[in-house]
Parts: sequence; structure tokens; C-alpha cells
Amino acid sequence: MRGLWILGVLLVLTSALSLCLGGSRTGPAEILEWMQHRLPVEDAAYVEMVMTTIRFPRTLGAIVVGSALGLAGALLQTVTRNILAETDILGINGGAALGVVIGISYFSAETMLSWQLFAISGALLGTTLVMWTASRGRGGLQPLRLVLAGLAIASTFQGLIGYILLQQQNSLDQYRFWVLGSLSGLSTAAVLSILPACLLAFGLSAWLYRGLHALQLGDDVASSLGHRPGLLRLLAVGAVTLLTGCSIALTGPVVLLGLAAPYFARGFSKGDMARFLIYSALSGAVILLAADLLARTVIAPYETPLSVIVVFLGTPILIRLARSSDFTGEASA
Amino acid sequence: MKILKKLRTFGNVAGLPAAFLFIFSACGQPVPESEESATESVSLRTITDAAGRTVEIPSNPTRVIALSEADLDALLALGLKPVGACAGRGQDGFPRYLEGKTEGIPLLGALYRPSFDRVIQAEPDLILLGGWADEGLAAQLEEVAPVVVTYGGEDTWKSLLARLGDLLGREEQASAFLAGYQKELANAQARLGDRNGATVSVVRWNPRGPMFMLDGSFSRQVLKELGLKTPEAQQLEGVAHSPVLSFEELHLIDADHVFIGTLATEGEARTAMDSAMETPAFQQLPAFRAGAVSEVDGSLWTSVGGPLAAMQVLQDTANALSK
Repeated sequence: MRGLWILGVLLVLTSALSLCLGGSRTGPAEILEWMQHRLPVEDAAYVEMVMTTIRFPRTLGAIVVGSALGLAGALLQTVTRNILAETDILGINGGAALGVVIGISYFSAETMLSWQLFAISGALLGTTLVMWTASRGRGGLQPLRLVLAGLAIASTFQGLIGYILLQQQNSLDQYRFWVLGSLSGLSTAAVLSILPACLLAFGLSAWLYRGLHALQLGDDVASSLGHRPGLLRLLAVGAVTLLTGCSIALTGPVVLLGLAAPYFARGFSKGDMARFLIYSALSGAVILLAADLLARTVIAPYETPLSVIVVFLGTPILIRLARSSDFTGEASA
Repeated sequence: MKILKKLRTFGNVAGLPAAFLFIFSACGQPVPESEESATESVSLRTITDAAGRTVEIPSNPTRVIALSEADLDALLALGLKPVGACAGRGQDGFPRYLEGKTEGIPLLGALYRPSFDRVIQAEPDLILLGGWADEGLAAQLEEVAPVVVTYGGEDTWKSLLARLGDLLGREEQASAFLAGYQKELANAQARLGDRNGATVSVVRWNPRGPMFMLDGSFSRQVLKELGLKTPEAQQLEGVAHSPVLSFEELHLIDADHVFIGTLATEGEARTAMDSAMETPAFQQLPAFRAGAVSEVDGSLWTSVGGPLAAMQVLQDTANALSK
């Protein structure tokens, strides 16, 4: 349980920092005074605006999206038995990006909400195509087939995105803001709107974890223990789609988080699947909170794109994974 | 196999426009054989362009191509219709504010990315390549006609106008335009009245956060001439825009008057104002509360403009502040 303690404390700490840091004008002292109603009316209105419409949605968004992407990464690595598997191989990122580009180019989508709608439709389309392609033929949903189908569909989407952006010059400028990911500009309502789908996926994962644990021992062992590997994978990938699709809709793609969170979780979980999934979700939230803190402070008063920060944090992990002496690519909890 | 067949059908559909384009360009008018032979003596003169290159150009160029929007703008201001030009920044066609003046000008391609077929077809005798120091592009274009870099980092639309006036032998038109501009400037200043010396912000809005135009940018140069000031927090050097601003720091865009725009050019696009209004931090801005925010064409105000764009900024500003 050491992992739970450490990650729990880190989560509280980063959340508190996320609420306290940011603008030059609103610091911890002022926030305390505001909570005790000791500020003059005009100042209080400002602090309240900052806290309720900027920092709270951002912090909540980082926790929801971070844990969602962390869990999604852990699930995906388990079902593909590959510790380098990332959610973009499911065609989700590519689908969401294509959705947003189509939205910007042909439907003049200019608000967060419209971007979300297009992103989630695209993500659903992408993952449906990948799953449908991968599960045809004998043996159902096999890891290798999933990866290959994902790569093929993702490349196709990239090609289509390139085609549209070349045709529609004015889309490029808006698309480049979206594609680097950011928690800036979120509203609490937007974060809450993806919460039901995320909770559903969390519940699904809790229900699946025994089967996933058995799956680590191979399809044959899992079958003899009474599990159905094909169905397990299908449901797990369904959960991954919900989690990733909703996250991308909210913040744009945040690359490498699905890889980094399970990496940390693996250090604490000691082969236990339930812990692995929970710790991955917690690590994801902590990493994203920390990354967002950097995103708003590194070049303050300006914003750094989230993906830039996460890539800086994630790349050393990727290198370490690839260079580690016991690297086989086989994932375990 | 079914999916393969379907894919093939899709491929055909997607390929159709491309095929048409190909046939169209292939069957386009054949390049007429040049009646004047290359050896025919055209009077030439040697000039030094904005990049310090020495170029030999015709003394009286008439078939000119503009690769940047400021070049196109300046040519039109001098009363010369180019025989081809590139689209505006981030736009599918010529800049929106030049509408009505660009009819009949062949579109060569995206900004700084002309189709060479169309460049050759336009048979230019001079190519204007403003604000771009791409040696490769210049070298390729030089195979077609002399290439002149018309402006660089230090230049303003005025020095661009002066240089083009000299290049094209249209000094008179250039000074006539400048005189017109000075008149409009005085007129606008008069309309501003006691608002003279007020601070103004120029903001490009994005749902992820706004950016403001830096001190050396085109619209700021015009505003400066009008006597309008940059808010202290925004006095940063540079000719483009700032990085994306945090919403918590939105107060940095506050000023006596705020101009706000997006680059979107589609008809049904949400306006910058609508998008900003959804942001609580924006609603708390003193300028917004005072009703001192106006929406402008972002493609004109937050880009690199020429003489005609400068005129437009003068008028927009006077209209907004004299209300």
C-alpha cells in the first residue's frame, strides 16, 4: 500500500499547488483571505473569478484527464502485452484530430464545445474502424492485429488531415493550437460533461481486472480459468476508447502520458493488476497536474503547450524503457 | 475482399478531383511562343534590393508578380494590377480587405508557395518577394524573371511603397498615395479628438487563449502614427504576436480601447467577440465593462499589411474610437 500513500500525498500536493499558483496577482495568502471573506468586494470578485472559472476547472480537468489517460495506457498495455503501446495506435488520436480539422475547415468550429463534439465523433469513428478491422478473421481481437490495424488507420487519417490542411489554409492556424494540447480555457461544465463516460470506463475496468490479470498469463491459461480473451480485449479497448476520446475532446491530444503513467505505476504495483490500474490512474493525474503547473509558469504570463512539457518528461522514460537490460517489450503489471 | 472493393470505390471518388486538376492543368493554354526573342534588347538597370542583393531588372516592368500580401497591396495602391499573386496569410484567396480590387488577378497559390506552372504562364518580367529570405525559392524564381526582395525586418509599409514606386517608375503615384494617407491621418486624428494619446490593444482571439500584437507589428505602427499608445505591459519588441496568454493574465490586454479579431475567414464562423464573451475573465476586463471593445478583421489587423491595409486601419480606428 506504500504506493497508494505516496501517490495520494503527491496528488493532494500537486492539486493544492495547481489551485495556488498561476497568475501573479492571486497567491495562497490572498486565497486564504478570500475563503475567510476578508477581502474587499472588488478584490474578492476577482479572486473568485480566477478560482472558480480558471484554476478550479483546470485542476479538475488535469485530475480527470490525467487519471483517464493513465488508466487507458495501463489497460492498453495489458491487452496488447506491449509496454510501448500508446493510445494513438487505436486510431483514437488520429480520428479525433481528423474530426477537429473537419470541424474547423467545413463547419467553422471555433469554440471549445464544438471542438469537443468533433473530436469525440472522430475518436469513435477511428476506434470503431480499428476494432472492426482487427477483430475480423479467426481468433478474434489479437494484439498484433490490433496494433497493425491501428497503425494503418492512423496513417490514413494523418494523410486525410494533411490533405484538408493543404486545401484550407486558414484551418492550420487554429489546428496547431488544438493539436499541442492545453488545459487553458476549460470550464467546469466542460469537465463535468465527460465525467459520466469516464466513470463508466473506470467501473468497467474494475469489473475486468480479474480477467486482465489472468490474461497476463496468456490466452490459454485465461481461457482455462473461465475467461474469454477476445471479449476481455474488446471490453478493455472499449474502456480505453471512452477514456481517451473524452480526454482528447477536452484538452487535445497529450502524447506520452499513457506511456509514462503505467511506467511509474509498475514500480509500485508488484505484479498486482488492481494496484497497477489504480496507480496508473493516480500517476497520470499527478503527472498531468505537474505538467500543467509548468505549462502556466515556465514562460508566464504566457502558456506553454501541454504536449511540449509532457514530452520533456516522457522522453527520458521512453529511452530508459528501450535501454533497460530486461527489455522484452512484454507488459506485465 | 468486400472492404477492398469499397476502398477502391472510395479511392476513385477521392482521386476524381485530382485527376480533373491534372487534366485541366495539362490541357491549359499552351505557352504561346514568345514573339520577342530573348535577345531583343530590353533596357535594363541595376538595383540593390531590401536583402542587399544586386539585381538587374527591366527599366519599365509591366508584368509584375506579387508573392506576399503586402506586395500585392502596395501594387494595387500604386494602380498596377499584377499579372499574378499569392493568397493572403492563412487564407484561401486574396486578403478579404482587398475584395473588389483583385478581380481578374490569377491566383498563383498559397502565400510564398506559388505553383511554378502558373508563374511561368503569367510571363512576368519582375517578381516581388517581400519579407522572405528563402534563397532556394528566390533562385528557382530567378529562372523565370528577376526577383526583388521588396522589404525586410526593418521596413514599414511606407518604405515598401517608396521602394516599389522607384522600381516601377511610379514615384508620382507613390507620393500621391502618401499625401492621401497623410490627409486621412489628419482626418482620423481630428475625429479622435480628446481620445488622442489613449492606450489601445490589438488582440488575436483563440479559445485556448488570446495573443496581442507586438510593438513593431504592422497595425501598431499605424496606431503609433495616430498618437495612440501601447499599454505598458505590452511594450515588447517584435513584429509578430505574443505567445498565447494565460486567462489569469488577461488583464494584460486591458487598455482604453481593445481591438479583437480572429483569423477565421469563413462566413458562418463564430465572431471573435462571441467567443471571448463566453470567457468570464474577459467579462471582468475594465475595457469590456466600459464597452470599449471592438471587433476587427483579424486577417487585416494581425497580419503584415501594405498601404491599403494601413488606410483601412486608420478608418477602423477612427470609427471605433470616435463613437
